[in-house]
Amino acid sequence: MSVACLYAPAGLAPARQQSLAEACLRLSSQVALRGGEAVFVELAGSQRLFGEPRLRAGLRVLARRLAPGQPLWLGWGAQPGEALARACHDPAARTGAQAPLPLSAMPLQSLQAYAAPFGEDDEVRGQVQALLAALAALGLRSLGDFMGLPARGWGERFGPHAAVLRERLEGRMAVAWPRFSPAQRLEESADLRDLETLSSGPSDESLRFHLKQLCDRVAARLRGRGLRAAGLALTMSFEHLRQAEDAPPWRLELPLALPVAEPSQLRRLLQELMEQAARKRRLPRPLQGLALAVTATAPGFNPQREAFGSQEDEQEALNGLQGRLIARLGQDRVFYAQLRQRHLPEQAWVRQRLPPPPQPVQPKAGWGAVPRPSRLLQRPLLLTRAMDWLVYWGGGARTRRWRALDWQGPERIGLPWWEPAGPGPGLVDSPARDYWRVRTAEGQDLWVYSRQGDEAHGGALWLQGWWG
Amino acid sequence: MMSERSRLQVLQGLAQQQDLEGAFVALAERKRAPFSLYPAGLPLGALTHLDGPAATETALRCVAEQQLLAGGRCQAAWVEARISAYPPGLVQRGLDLACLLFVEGEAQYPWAVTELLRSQAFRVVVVASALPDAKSLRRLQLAAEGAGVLALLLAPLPEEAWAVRTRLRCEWLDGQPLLRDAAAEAPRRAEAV
Repeated sequence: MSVACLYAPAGLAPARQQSLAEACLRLSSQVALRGGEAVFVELAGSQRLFGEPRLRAGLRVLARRLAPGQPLWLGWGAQPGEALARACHDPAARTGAQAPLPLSAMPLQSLQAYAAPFGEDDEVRGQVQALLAALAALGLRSLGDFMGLPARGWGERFGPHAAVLRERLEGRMAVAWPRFSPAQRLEESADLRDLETLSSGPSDESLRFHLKQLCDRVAARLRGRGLRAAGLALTMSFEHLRQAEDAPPWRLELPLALPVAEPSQLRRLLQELMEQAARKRRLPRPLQGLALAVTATAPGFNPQREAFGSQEDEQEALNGLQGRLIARLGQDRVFYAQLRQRHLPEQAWVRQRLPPPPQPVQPKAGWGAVPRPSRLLQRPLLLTRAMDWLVYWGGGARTRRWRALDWQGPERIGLPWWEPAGPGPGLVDSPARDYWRVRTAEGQDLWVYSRQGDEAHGGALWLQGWWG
Repeated sequence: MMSERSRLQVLQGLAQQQDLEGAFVALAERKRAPFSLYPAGLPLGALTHLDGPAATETALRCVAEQQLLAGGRCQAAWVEARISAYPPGLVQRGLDLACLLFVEGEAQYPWAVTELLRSQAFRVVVVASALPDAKSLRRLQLAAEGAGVLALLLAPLPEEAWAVRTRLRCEWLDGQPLLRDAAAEAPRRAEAV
């Protein structure tokens, strides 16, 4: 077993401790708390995969992110008692720069950590304190001195706790880990007031900094749970004024089309959301607080993804970008194309949010084998034919004309007989179209069609697409 | 249309071109993207304007070649104010629709293009509608430079489009696009006038 202990000498607020423990779940499923003081993580499996230095660095980053401004000492040991003892009494735990003390050189007070690593029991604490006083009276100063005492008659000489502590020091009597369950609701908040003056209205830079911190914390907790955010809610609260009605907080909802967990992507999305809200209406008063809640989640990537390359990171960046684009442009404006086996050109593909499955580059038979233009107009344009010329009367500068050199076709395309003619452009009352590929003197090939039965109207031509 | 055999021929042709020697290296070390129609390669991290009757076909061939070279991991984007690209036609030209994101920007079009370029998520971005002014082009150029992306502009440029470094005229010759350096041709045309 290999255990890490993050110990807060000045104490840790319950919410911060919960967040930190939740974020540590990304490293191990076995996490435990010591009320308001420490977080334990069992790391034997992760240590084989990542190595101790990387895990130490990772834990220090999490500690800085989830409990900013609070000193947290990192102890490492073969069991929870040793990890806590090192976190409390080993100077190397504070900086990580020095080599750790040998276990035999640790002070005798470390036995308190071995007695009840996951929680203080006043009765046990009192008994161990009496034991420590007795041992100190005998001139013992360190764990090495304690272990150097002859093993015979420990129970009779020092009481039952001494025998148990000796067993634990020798790694023979393991302690049961209490269960840790993360909170149901994933929410983080930040106070934007200046700490010295308590004034509201943070600067742009300060607001970005707080937003980044919020996103970092939420992302760490999401990753600990193995989830990604599929919906966010940002609450902006405003300054309270005496003798004035409070401005109600703004709650900005952001459903995400594609789930995201990377902190940088979350930050960009929220920044965009706040900018949009501020463009629509003026902030009633200076900002005082931000609260970010995850309203919907989706399964996340494997936390051990680094071992297999950065493909998930690229996908995550792409998801974040799509989320931002969709939030501003709309659902249907950002899409992948999926082909369909339909005859009418405008129905031969559909827009969809996710990439289509891999498919053969070129269909070998059927309509797919017939050359198609690279561009297709969403609404066909009515052309006028005059001698060799095809003219589109768009009005003013939009009027275009082409001199036709060669007509290839026709290719007759129509709806199957069992489908009624729809209200599509140029299709009303006309079940079939005759398509022509027209080579022009301007260098572009046009894809024009005439509707069957249109002869009565002078054989009108519609421009639907072009090559070039 | 591009069959499996012609895809292989394109790849072999690219590998045999002496002008492209040294171009098939890791992305981080490469400053130009290899392109069979333009042996010097197209600049990465800069805007390239394609003009002429074969401009779209040239851009599509470029995207298809980049996707082929990257072995299916080349993300590309097609951004336009109102989408006119025709996916069945794109598939016939060898493009992989699974790696091609379409963005219809409408009124937010310049913003969408800048975001796409800045994201570093794409190797190639095809900008198929005109940009309003030289300032937005400059913004685009900066975004492309920062991301090292290959940005292909298909629409007419605004006046004073000095931010566009490479301008290529795409004509048809025997059914194949032929590229000429438009910037080099411009003085000659002026002399002729």
